[in-house]
Amino acid sequence: MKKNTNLLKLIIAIVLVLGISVMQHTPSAVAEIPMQQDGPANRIYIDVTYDPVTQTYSLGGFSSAELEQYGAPGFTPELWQVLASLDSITLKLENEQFNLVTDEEQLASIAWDASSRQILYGMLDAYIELGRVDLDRAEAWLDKADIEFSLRNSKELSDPLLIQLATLLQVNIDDDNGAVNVEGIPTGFGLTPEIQEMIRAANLNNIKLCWNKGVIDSEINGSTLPQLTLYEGGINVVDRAFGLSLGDLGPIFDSTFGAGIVFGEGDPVTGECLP
Amino acid sequence: MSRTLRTTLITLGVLLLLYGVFYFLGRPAIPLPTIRYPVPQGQTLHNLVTATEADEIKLDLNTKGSLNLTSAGEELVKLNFTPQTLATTLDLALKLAPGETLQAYQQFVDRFPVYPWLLRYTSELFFHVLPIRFSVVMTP
Repeated sequence: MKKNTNLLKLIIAIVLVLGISVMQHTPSAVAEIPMQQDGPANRIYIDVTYDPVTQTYSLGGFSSAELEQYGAPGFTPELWQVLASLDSITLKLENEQFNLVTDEEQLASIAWDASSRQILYGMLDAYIELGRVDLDRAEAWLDKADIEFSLRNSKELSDPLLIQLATLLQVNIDDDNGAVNVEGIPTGFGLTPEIQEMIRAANLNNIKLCWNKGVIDSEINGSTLPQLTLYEGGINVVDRAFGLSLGDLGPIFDSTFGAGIVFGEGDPVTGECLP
Repeated sequence: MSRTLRTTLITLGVLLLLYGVFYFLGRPAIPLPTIRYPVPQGQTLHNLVTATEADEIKLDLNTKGSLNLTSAGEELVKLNFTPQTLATTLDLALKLAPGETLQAYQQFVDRFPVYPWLLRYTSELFFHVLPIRFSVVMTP
C-alpha cells in the first residue's frame, strides 16, 4: 500500500512539473520582426549608364538587351543630343537638401524641409494640377526620403537598383470597373470581371503585402497568412522550367517594398513594412 | 489498488516522463521515412524537377511550422506557418475555389459538424505537442 502511495506521489509530481513547464514555454514558429527605431525611411537609388555612340542605356543593373526585352522605351534623339554633351548628372535628395550635380560640379541646391516642400506642392498644383494626389501621402513618401538618381556616360553596366521603401504603396481597386489606382493615380490597368467576382465572393476588403528581400509577409482582411520566402535559385528553376526569360533578379531580391491594396470602399491598410 | 490500475498509472507516468524529456530537448520533430516519388512525364512538376541541376526536388514538411523545397541542399522556397495562418489560408482557398467547392465543403461540415474542430485540433496537436517531419524526394 505504501509502495502504491509513493508511486502515485511520483506521478502527481511529474504531472505538476510538466504542467508548469508547459505553461512557462509558449512555442511560436513566427520569426520576430525587428522593430524599426527611427520611423519609416524610403531609400531609392537608380543608376543609369548610357553610351551615345551605340545609343543604348543600362538601368538599375539591367543591360540594354534586358531592358529592351522588358519593353523599356528608348531615348529620343533630342535627349541623346543633350546626354552626349554631358559626362554625368546626379539628382540627390538627402535629409533636407536636394542637390543637382553635373560633371562633378554642383549646379543647384534646394532646401527640402517641410515648408519648402509645401511651396513646391503649391507650385506644382498651380501648374500641373496635382488633382487626386493626396499631399499627406506625398509627405508620407518624401519625409525621411533618401533618393538618388544618377545618369553616367559610360559603357559599363549600371549599378544595381536599390529600393527600400518602408511606406506602403496605397493601391485602390475600383468596385465598379476594377480600375487600379496607385496613390490616387489611375494606372490604366484593371482587373477582369472574373477576378472582381472572385474578390466579391471571397469578401476581400483589403490586402497588406510586404516584400523584404525575398520574404513575403501578407495579411488579408487583417488576418495573417503564412510567411513565404522565395529564393533566387528557386525562381531561376521556375524560369528554366517554363522558359520565362526573367533575366537577373538580383536587384529585386535586394529590395524592400510593400503595398496596401484596398478593394472598393474597404478599410484602408495601415502600418508599414518593416525592413 | 488493482493490478490494472497500477499498470495504467505506471504506463501513464512513463509516457509523461518520456514526453517531459522530449519537451526539454526542444520538441524536435519526429522524422518519418522519406518517400521517393518519380514524377510522371507531362506533369508541370516534372518540368520543375528537370529544371534543377540535381534533377531532384526535396519537399520537407515539419508540422512545427515550416515547409521547405530544396534541391541538392539549395533552398528554393520556404513557407512558415502557424495553425492560425493555415486556418486563414484554408478559409481563403475555400472562398476562392472555383465552382461548387465551398458549397460542397459546407454540406460536408453540415453532415460532420465535428470536422472543423477536428481539423483545428489535429493541426494544433502536431504543431504544439507532437511535431513530425516527413520528406518527399521528387525525381524525374
